[in-house]
Formats: sequence, structure tokens, C-alpha cells
Amino acid sequence: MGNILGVGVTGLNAAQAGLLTTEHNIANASTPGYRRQETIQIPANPQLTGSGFFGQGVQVQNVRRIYSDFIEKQLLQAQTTGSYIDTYYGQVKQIDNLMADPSVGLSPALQEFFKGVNELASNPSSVPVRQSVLSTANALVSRFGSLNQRLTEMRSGVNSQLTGTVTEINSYAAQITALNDQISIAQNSASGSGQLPNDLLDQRDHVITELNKLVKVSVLPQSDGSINVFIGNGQPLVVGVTKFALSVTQSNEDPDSMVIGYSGGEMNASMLTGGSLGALLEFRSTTLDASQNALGRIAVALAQTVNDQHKLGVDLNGTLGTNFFSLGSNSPYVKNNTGNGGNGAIAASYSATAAGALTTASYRLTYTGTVGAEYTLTNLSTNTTSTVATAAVPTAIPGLTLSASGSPNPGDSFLILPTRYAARDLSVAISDTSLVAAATPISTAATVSTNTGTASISVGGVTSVATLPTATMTLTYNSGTGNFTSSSTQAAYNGLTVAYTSGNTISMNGINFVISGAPANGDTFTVSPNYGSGFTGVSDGRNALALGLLQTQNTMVNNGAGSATTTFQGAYGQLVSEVGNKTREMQVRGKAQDTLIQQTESEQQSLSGVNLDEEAAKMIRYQQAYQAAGKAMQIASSLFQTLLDIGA
Amino acid sequence: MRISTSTIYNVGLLSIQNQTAELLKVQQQLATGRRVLSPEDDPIAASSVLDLTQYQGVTNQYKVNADNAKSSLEMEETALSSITELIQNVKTLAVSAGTPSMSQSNLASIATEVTASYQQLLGYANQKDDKGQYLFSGYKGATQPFTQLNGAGVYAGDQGQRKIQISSSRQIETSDNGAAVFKPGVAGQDLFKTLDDFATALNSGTFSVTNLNAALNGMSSALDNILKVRASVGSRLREIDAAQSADEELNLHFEQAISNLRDVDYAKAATELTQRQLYLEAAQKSFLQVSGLSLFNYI
Repeated sequence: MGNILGVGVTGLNAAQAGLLTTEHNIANASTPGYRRQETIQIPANPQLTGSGFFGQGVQVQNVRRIYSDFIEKQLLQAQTTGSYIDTYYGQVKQIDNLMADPSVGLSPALQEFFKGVNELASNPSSVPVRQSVLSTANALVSRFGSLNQRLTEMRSGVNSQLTGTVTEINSYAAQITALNDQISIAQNSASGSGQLPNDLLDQRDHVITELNKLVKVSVLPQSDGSINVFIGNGQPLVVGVTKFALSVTQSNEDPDSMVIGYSGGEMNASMLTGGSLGALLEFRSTTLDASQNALGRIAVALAQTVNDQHKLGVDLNGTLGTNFFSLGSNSPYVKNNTGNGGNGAIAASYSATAAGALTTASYRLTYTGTVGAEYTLTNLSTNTTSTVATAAVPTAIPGLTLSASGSPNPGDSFLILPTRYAARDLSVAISDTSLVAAATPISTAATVSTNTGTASISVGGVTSVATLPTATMTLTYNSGTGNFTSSSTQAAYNGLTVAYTSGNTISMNGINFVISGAPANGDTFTVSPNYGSGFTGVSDGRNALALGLLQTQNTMVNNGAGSATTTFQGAYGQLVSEVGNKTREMQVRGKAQDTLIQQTESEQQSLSGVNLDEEAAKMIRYQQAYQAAGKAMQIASSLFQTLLDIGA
Repeated sequence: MRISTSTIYNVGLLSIQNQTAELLKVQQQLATGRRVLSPEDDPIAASSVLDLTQYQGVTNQYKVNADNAKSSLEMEETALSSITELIQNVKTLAVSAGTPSMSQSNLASIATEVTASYQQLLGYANQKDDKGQYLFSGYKGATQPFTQLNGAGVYAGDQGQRKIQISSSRQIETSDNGAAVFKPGVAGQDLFKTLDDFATALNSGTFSVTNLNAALNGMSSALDNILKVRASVGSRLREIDAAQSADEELNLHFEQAISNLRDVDYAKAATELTQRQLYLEAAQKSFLQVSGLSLFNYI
């Protein structure tokens, strides 16, 4: 009789346990990281009697959480990639937006500047026109500056996001150590029973999920129930109850950038892949650096080509042109690594062909001391390395002339940024309208009063001002020899003989002109200085015309054969399209990754998530089980009453 | 397959969000008139648009340059046509001076007219353009090109020829220097000297057929030269007109190309807007219906 009651009680208990678990599931249906639990019922051990084994009711063996290690790992992988893409997209989209607006980009300012130059060519002596050249140049310079400023702000944004992310990572690491502690205590106290603290495990798994979105982690479970967490290529973040904190420190190499510090050293960006931390570092070292360098490269090319042409010209005072733009002293920029032990130094300047030769990369030159290959050069955008002998150092970087001095220690390194600060530091070097060099320093003339032939001379131009004529040179034609012979009081221009071919360009000492037609014997042509004191060639716009042509000339991005392939505008277009493509790539990858995450999450939820309908059904089931067990006990009780009634 | 309750909410919400994002994008395209809202939408089109905008800007600049060139050349043409008229007038005077019945006083009054023409010629030769530069002084735009010395013209300009860029490959000459136009110092061609000599001969009292022929020959060759320069100016003006109409066509082409790359197809976008609206409504309604289903409603 007692047995009958006892079996009933086990039924009541099992139904209560089931209801409890169901209610727990319902309560946690929307708790992030919660995995549904269920009770595992088994029949109680039977009792042997002479008539065989009699069942002793039910017992609850276990409360287990529904969990698949395989799916969870898949989900972690999908999420870390997803958060990498999201973060990268969020960053690169800002540059994309910056360049999207045609009124904010570089193009309109570039166009306005060359418009000013064209007007100067049409009207070289007008002061208002000269002023507009200077004003539009200043506007262009400030456009370079403001675009660069936005990129610099993004760089400091990355720096502060790194700080925030690292703080969060450290906080998650601390939470994991605390949970490790609790879990191993809980597991110990249940030792031997094989029972697991499901809810604590869920909490810890959830923290790992969140941590993994920030930086890709690998997890190694230990026998005591705790886990070890590793980041990068195996650097421990959590071991049992000990955490190893990350820090954010100033880079020894690049003063503009913060880097991740780990146990006293710098953590290489290539170690930290995945997650938003990986995305921030990768975005900075590829897209952001390259964009800022590309903008700077346009500034350098513009300054160099305009300056070169401007210096071939003559201003309103009759003086040869000076630099029109200035790039400041930080372009190119070289910085010794603060960890350098030797006193080696590298000096850098732009080569004469920098406009076309420069790349958008940043470089690291490391001294190795190996004889015959004393340096290694790392291109920081492509992460490719080459060895450089001391003799080859001057031309190691395209567009730069380097010189090494002092004695570096092996391992000492130098960061070389060919163009990063050029857009920031570009300025207009002249402010006096009369200093704009619109004229060309030579003038030519046919001696019309005595020439009898029909030959004429072109207005001429110069490609170098090193040996300009200082006195009038007279060219006299000899029909017997078919030659022109020069005479001048200046030795460099005296006694030169040129075989005459109509229409051929005649070049001497960097000046050039064309004589065409049929000269008669003794006909003379003169080439005179068009500069110096008493200069009156105020309507000469030849140099302004040449300056204006720079807008549509290919001056940048040399091909393998060393010829320029694009214009200033073209180089800017390339930058816009590269950023646009990267943004698009991230957007497309992000959409695909979202779908993958959603699918994996659905799969994980399909297994481990709570379905309220299911729980409702379970409630009905356990309620009925409870009612049935109660009914059985009621019957047992009425049986007992029957016996009592006999005695009465 | 088991579906967890949170999946029903998450999937429902996600599809509503996606549809809203798509709807918003079409709405933005319609509102701005642009298909490419940022380079990300079509990186190639975005950079092509930048290039085309520069070409368009450059072409517009060439048009402005051409206007400048035209106004300079038209001023020169006006001066040259006045000079042509002046020479023809003096030639008529010369022919009448050659009439045998001319008295010395008649010749003297013709001489006065010739001298007046000489001064007028000096005025034309020293004319300034709309920018205040002397038309015929070459690069020395601020230097008065002609002065008179013993009757002959003395040229203080140079032989520079001003040029303006009117297309990517053409710099058009917008001036002709005084040496080429008036041939100062060239024997038998110097217009100043010819007029001065003529007036002197008329006043000398010994005016002869030789003097008359020298004057007529000098004026003929000067006229020939001026007409040659005018023909050249005329052909340059025609070239500018041609370049400008080519620029206009180019501009239309650029505008079309930019619009094709960047602008939205309104009919297509409007259709898409309706479509997206429908999708969003469907997502919202179906979400409400599915999420309202629960066994708890019945127990």
C-alpha cells in the first residue's frame, strides 16, 4: 500500500520538475545566450519480489541544456567575420560619403584653379585676374586641407575606438575569469554526479560570443570546467582564473597611430584578425593610409609640376618665377622608431620625377647590417619586403631620394611616409599678384626691315632657365651652307651653327623656337631676353598657357615604362573609385554574411532556442501527469480507507 | 523543423528592416534624381562622372577662352578695317593729286588731309583693347607701340603673338604685332613713311609723277599686307566659331553621358517604389499575423 503512494509521489515530483524547467524556459525565452533546458526522466530502480520486478515510479535523472558544440562554433566564426565586415563598412562608408558629394570633393576646386590660370593666359597683365589665380589656388589648398582633415579625424576616431574596444575586451576577459571560478566551484561541489551548472555555462558562452565579435578568439575547455581563451596567434587572454589585459599605446613607429599593447610589447596588426578590432586595424593600415597618401600624392604632383613650370616663367617685375606652391617640411616625412639604439638617420626629398613616380604606399626601412643587403624595405600597404644594399638606398623608394647617415644598430627602423602630410601642409607660396609668372623669358623677332626671304620665327619657349640669353642673339642665314650661325656677346650663344630645316624645332641651352619658310641669304632672326629690369612683356601669357595645360596633361601614376598615365583629376577619380569599390565590396560581403549569420543563428535556435508553443504543450503534458499521479494517490488513499472501514 | 519563438521575431523584424532600407534608398533616389547616391553604389560610374565633369569644365573653359579670343580679334578686325578705309581714302586723294590741273594750293590742302590721315593712322596703330592693352604691341601690352620719328613709324613693341587655348590641341593667335601689320622701317612698305613722304612731297612744290607712284606703290603694298592680316584674322574668327559650336556639341554629349551614368530613371524608380512599398506592407502584415499565433491563446 505504501508503495502505491510512493510511486504516486515520484510521479508528482517528476511532473513538478518538468513544470519548473518549462517555466524556466518560458521565463528565459528572450534571454540572450539562453539555451533551452529539459528534464531527463528515467524509471526508478525496480523492486524484486517473488513475483518479479515491480516498478518504483519515475526519477528525474538530469536537467540538461540543449547545445551543439559544432553549431555554436560555426556561429562564432560567422559572427566574428560579420562584425569585422560591419565595422570595416562603417569606417570606409565615411570616406565614401566624404567623396560622394561633388561639391565637397577635390574636383571643383581643381577646376576653379585651372580656370583662373586660363583666364590669366587670356589676360596676363590684369591684376584682378592675377588675384583670382591666387584666390583659387588658396581655395584649392584649403580643399586639400579640409579633405585631409576629415581623414585625420577618422584616424583619431579609429584610435579612440581602439581604446573603447580594448576596454571592452578586458572587461569580458574579467567576466570570463569570474565565471570560470564559479563554474569550477559548482562543478566540484557536484563532483561525481556529472551534473552541469547549465545557466552559468550559458552566461559564459554568451560572454564569449560578445568577446568574439570584438576579436576572434579560440577556446580550450579544461577538465575542471573552466576554459582558456586565446587571441591572435595563440596569445592567452584568459587562463583559468587569470586574465592577461590588452592595452592601447602610442606606436613606436607611427606617431599618429595607437597600437595594441600586450605584456609589454606591441601586438602586430596582422596577428589580430577578425572582429571589430581586426577591422579597425586593417581599415587603418590599408584604406585610410592609402586614401590619405593618395590625396597627398595629388598635392605633391600638383606642387611639383606647377612649381617646375612656374619657375620657367617671368613675373610682372621681370623676375624669374619662384615656387608657386609649398609643401612644408614634413613632406616627405621620415621618423626614427623610438626603439632605435643606433644614431643612424635617413633624410628624404622628392626626386625630380616624383609627380609621376610616387606611389600611395608608406614604407619601413629596417637596418639589418647584413653585408651587401644592409637594409630591408617593407611596403606597408602591400606588406611586401625587399632587401636594399647601402648603395641602392637613395633610389629605394619611387619618387624619393634618400640618404642614410650615422650608424644604425641592426634592427633599427625608420618609417618613411612619402605623401601623408602633403595634403595637410600644401600652401600657396606667393601672395603678391605681381609674382605670378605668366610670361616666358625669351622673345624672338625676324629682322623685318632687312630680311628679303619669307621665313618666320615662332614665339619660342624654354625648358630650362639655367642658361638664359642675357643679350640678344642674332641668327644669320647662309644660303650656301644652308646653316644658321649665331652671334652674341654671350659665349654660350655665340658661334653656334644650326643646319636649317623648315619647321624644325631649334633648341639651344634650354631655349627653343621654330623657324619656318624660305629664308634668303643674309636674313637674320633675333632671340632676346624677355626678363630683367625694364621688363615690358606684360601681355605675354605663354607660361600661363603652359600652366593651364597641366590640367589635362598626364602627370601622375607612371606605368612600368616610366610614363605618366593620368591627370590630377584622374588620380583623384582613382581614389574615389578605389574607396567606392572597397565600400561596395564590404556592403556585398556584409549582406552575404548577414544571411549566413541569420541561417546559422536559425539553426542554433532551431536546436537550442525556446519555442513557446512547445513549452505550452509541455505545460499541459506535465499538468496532466501531475493530475494523473494525484489521482493514483487518491485511489491509494481510498484503498487504505477500505481497510480502515473493515476494522470499524 | 523546430522553430524557436525568437527566430520568428528576429526573422520577421529583419525582413521588415531590409525592406525599409530598400524603400528608403529608392525614395532617396527619387528625391535627389540620382541613381548613384555615393560612389559605393557604382564606383566605376562615380569616377567616370568625375572625369566627365572635368572634361565638361575644361570644355566650358575653352568656350570662355574662345569668347575672349573672339573679342580681341574682333577689336583688331575693327581697327584693321578702319585702316583699310583710311588707305583707300588716301589712295583716292593721291589719284586726284595726280590730275595735271592741280595747283600748288590744291596740293597743299590734299597734304593737310594726308597729314590728318597720318595722325589718324597713328591713333589706330596705338589703339587699346577692352582690357587696356595696346592691340599691336606684341607682348609689350602696356607699351605704346608707335611713335613718330622724322615721319617714319618707330615700333616699340616686340614680335610676340598673344595666344589663347581654345581646344585641347589649339592655341589660337589673338593678336598681330605692329611690325607685321605696319612694316615699320621696311623700305617701300612702311605705311607711316609712305604717308609722311607723300605729304612732304605734296608740300614741296616739286610734286612729281615719281612721288605719286612711290606713294601709290607704297600704299598698295601696305594695303595688300593689311588685307593679308585681315584674311588671317577672319579665318581665325571662323575657326573660333567652329571650335565653339564643337564645344557646345561636346558639352551636350558630356551632359548626356553624365546623366546616363548618374541620374535615376524616374519611371523605373517610381515602379520600384510601389513594388517596395508592397513588399514592406506584406512583411509587416505577415509578421503581425504569424507572431499573433500562440498556443497560450487557447489555454
